[in-house]
Amino acid sequence: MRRRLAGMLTKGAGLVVVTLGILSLLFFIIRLSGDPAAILAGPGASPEQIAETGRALGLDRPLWMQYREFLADTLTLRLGDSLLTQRPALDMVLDRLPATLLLAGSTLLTVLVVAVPVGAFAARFHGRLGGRAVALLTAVVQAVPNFLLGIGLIWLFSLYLGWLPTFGSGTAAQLVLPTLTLAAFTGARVARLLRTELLEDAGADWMRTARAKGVPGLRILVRHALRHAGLPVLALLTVEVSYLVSGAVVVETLYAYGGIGKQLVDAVFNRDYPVVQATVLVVAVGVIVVNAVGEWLMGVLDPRTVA
Amino acid sequence: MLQPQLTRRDLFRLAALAGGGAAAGGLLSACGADGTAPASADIAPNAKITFASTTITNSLDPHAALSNTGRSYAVQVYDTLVQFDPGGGGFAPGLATAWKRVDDTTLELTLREGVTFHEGGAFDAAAVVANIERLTGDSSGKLTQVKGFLGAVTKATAVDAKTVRITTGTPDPILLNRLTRVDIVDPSIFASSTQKASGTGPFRVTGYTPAQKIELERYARSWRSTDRVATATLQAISDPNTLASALRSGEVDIAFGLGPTQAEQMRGSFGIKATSAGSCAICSMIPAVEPKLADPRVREAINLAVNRDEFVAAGLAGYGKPSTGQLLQPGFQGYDSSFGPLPHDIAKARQLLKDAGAENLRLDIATTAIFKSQAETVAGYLGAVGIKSEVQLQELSAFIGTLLKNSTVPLLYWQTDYFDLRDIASVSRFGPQAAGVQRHFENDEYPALYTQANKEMDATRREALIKQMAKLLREQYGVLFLAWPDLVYVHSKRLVEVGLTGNSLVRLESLGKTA
Amino acid sequence: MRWVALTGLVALVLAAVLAGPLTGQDPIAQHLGDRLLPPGTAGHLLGTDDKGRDVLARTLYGARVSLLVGFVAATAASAFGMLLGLLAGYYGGWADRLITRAGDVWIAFPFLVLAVATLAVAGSDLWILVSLLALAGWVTPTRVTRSLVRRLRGADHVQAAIGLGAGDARVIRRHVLPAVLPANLVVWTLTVGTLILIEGGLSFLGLGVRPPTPSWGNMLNDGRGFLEIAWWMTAAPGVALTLTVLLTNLLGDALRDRLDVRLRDR
Repeated sequence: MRRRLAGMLTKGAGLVVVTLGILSLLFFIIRLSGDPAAILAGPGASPEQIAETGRALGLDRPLWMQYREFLADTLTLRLGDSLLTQRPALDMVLDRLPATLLLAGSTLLTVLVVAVPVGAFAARFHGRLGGRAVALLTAVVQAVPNFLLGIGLIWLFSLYLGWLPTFGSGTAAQLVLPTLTLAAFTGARVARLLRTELLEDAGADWMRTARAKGVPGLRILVRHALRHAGLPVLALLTVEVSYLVSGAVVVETLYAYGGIGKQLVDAVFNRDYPVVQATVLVVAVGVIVVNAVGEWLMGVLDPRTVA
Repeated sequence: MLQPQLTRRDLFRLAALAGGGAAAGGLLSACGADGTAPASADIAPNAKITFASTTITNSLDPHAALSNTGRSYAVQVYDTLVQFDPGGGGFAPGLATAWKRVDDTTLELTLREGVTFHEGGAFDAAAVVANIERLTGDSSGKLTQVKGFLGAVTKATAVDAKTVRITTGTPDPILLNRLTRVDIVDPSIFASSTQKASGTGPFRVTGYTPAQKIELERYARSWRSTDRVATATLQAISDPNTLASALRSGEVDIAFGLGPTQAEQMRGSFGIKATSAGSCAICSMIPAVEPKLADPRVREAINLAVNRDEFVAAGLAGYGKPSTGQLLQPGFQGYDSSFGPLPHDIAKARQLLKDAGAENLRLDIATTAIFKSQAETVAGYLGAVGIKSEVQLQELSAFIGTLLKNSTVPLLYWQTDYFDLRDIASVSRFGPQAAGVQRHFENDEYPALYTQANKEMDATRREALIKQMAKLLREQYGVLFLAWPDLVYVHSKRLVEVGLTGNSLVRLESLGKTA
Repeated sequence: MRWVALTGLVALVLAAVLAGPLTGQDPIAQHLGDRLLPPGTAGHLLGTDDKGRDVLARTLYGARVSLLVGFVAATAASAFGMLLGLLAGYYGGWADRLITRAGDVWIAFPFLVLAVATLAVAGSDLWILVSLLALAGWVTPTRVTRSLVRRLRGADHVQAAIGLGAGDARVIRRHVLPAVLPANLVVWTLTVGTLILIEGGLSFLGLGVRPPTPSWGNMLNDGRGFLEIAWWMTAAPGVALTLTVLLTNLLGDALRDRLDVRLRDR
């Protein structure tokens, strides 16, 4: 237990360092690539107006001074106001966080509910027509770009059938298409991984023993095989958390869904530094939590993995 | 396509419906809001409207709104002292019902009686003075843009409760134009203006989700109020294709921000309201990046390479007019009707490039994602005369830097928007520049004329100066002139009446929706 | 299965290389008079796009960009990943801890944000794009290599070689590298597909290759606006992209089965 705690602590410390590194990188990229004052002053502005705005925002000081202040602010969690909306940056992120968590949650749920049976089916009927068809289908789904899938889903469910709204967030109906779009890629990956794992396990000693003891097939699958194959799937899912933010950018754009992914990219585009800073910090906390939960779950599933 | 919160398409708004501008609209209204409009008796009162565009305002506070993204919100919730006349080139009353010049630097306005803000306070001269002082006195950098529109305004004084005088430091011929950009905000909410809104317009804000939507409800006490629309949603849908889908599925009543080719595809099943925007699509040619661009023969060759009729028909889907080699379009002060169409001549272009020793030029074009398709078309034309060209997409904040400071790319595709002030003064890029900033047009006479025009109080003399600027720019081929693009609203056929302001913003209270 | 996948991929590469002679069309030359011609129009097997350019030619030339980006970036990612994996697995200690932790965090961070920010600064240059994609894919080969090397490090024949006084370089060259190559070949194949998808996504966001140079992502982005009236503008690059990723994934699967590689550590 103490070793496990220590492991999590070093991991946490590493994460803090890397988070600071990424924030610093973004700080320089954003500061060197575009002038927030130019955006605020607008395309019609005179150079004097831009300079004046820059002075008001403290952007005329040497970069190292701005960086020092930024580091101090980050460490003390003084995240400031968005340059664009003039609302507290952290509030802007927290306002949108529930929508992102909801989308991530429903995506994970969909992945588990759909991908696990599909993967098990493909493994169970390996070599037969049904198994092959499902294996090929998952391979195809994994190969389709998510924006292309999204366009197809909008056409089918919103325009042709008229069942679901095309955009927005807040209602259950508005959650369906973004979830499907986001879940498709991860779901296909999980199903394929699970199939492979189950097939490899099929040849394993413990499996043969169970079978020899006359344990029924379905029970082997559920009680033993799935449990065993669950580990790599879980490992994959913890990693996929980043995809739920990255991939969500495309999905949020496509469905005008109000999550933090799109807001983050917009903030980068607009050089709205405080919002970038707040979002990256919140994501980092999310990553810590997900990793901790993932490790705990793995420990429950298989005590040997705790190193 | 992912777009920054500000999009250039939102930057072109103002119409010039007067005069020859109607010719451009003629073709479009024929295929647009077709003549099947039912009698207004079919219009149901208390409609619920969803108006979607690629972006909404960045702030509830219209004084902190960036460029023009906030205008379609502000016009519903706020009033300005004067507004552009929807019917012509002049001005119409807003919160001021009359105005007169006292002298070259003072304007006296008589205010509308019986107006109250959404929060209950009375609108009076003190409120106007507070608004002007808020802007001129701002040192936070947050109100820079609207402050910039005020130009030389130094102060406002209340003569009595219903009379205000506005004073400028130097004579300003376009002071009234400037006042159309200043929304009057309830002074009691200055301190909380990012959290709530209180104006005098026909709608009040009931809900706000930043960057996503604004919920509005009718404010019946407004002098502009009608019984047509009870509630409205201003919705941001950043992807134009999703915007089109939302129109098709019926979730959105009216949309702004569809590309011209997308609007073209919706003709027939949807109403289309296209009005000429106060904007000219051009490419700046930056000699500081490619010295050959300083040669007038090269600049002429580039102008000869483009087939403007085809550019408008294919690139803009017909929603625009070929530029006749001037920035201003018909209806604006200083438009010169004597300019003929610019020729398209590939052979001559190649010869000029050869004469100038500028064969095998490589001229990349920088622009933003919004103009990708049009810039790509220009690159195609350049390719046809032997100039290699690729399009470098920059997101807006980087592109503004490219435009305003120093570019590393020789050609810049953008639109010179002059709709905001309805005046050439808005096109400051060719005017005087600060030291160390690139010049878009290497010429000393043009900036001098620009400065002179912007303090000339006599209308006739001012018009002559602006025409002189236009002549100079065309003779020297100072820019690559392309087109005057239209601005396009696509709406459900259930909307049988769509009223626009003098600067082509949708007036929600005017929308007539059938039952 | 692997022959189908391999043949398909070879055919794709050949088609991309021979794009010029195969179509006889310039993928960039614009003919606005011939815009949006449907498939089957004389001279345009797959029709033309909104600029009157031949869609077949653009799809085949686009394959060059997509395959180049996918192959080069995946190769760079694999090489970098193997190097780090060797370091971590062979020497262990702080290098191992550092590399492993960096990988954990890197993979957990939204890559797209870094990509967007970097491309915003640098502009969408082809080689910057390739470098970014290489950065997106280094963790998997690192992890796979590390765990294999760690297992090998303790194996009898490796210990014996070390005991006989063989230098690190020799041990790695003779005993370790050959053992990690098959697994990395599988990972490489799967990475190609993933990176081609990411390139498509970046182009969808307007951050891909510079127009008018065709890439599948670019073409899909253009095609979206014309879906209602010119489905072929989307279908051609969409099918090409999906098929390529599918083929690389199937090849990867087949290779994994064939080479008996377990990728638990992915």
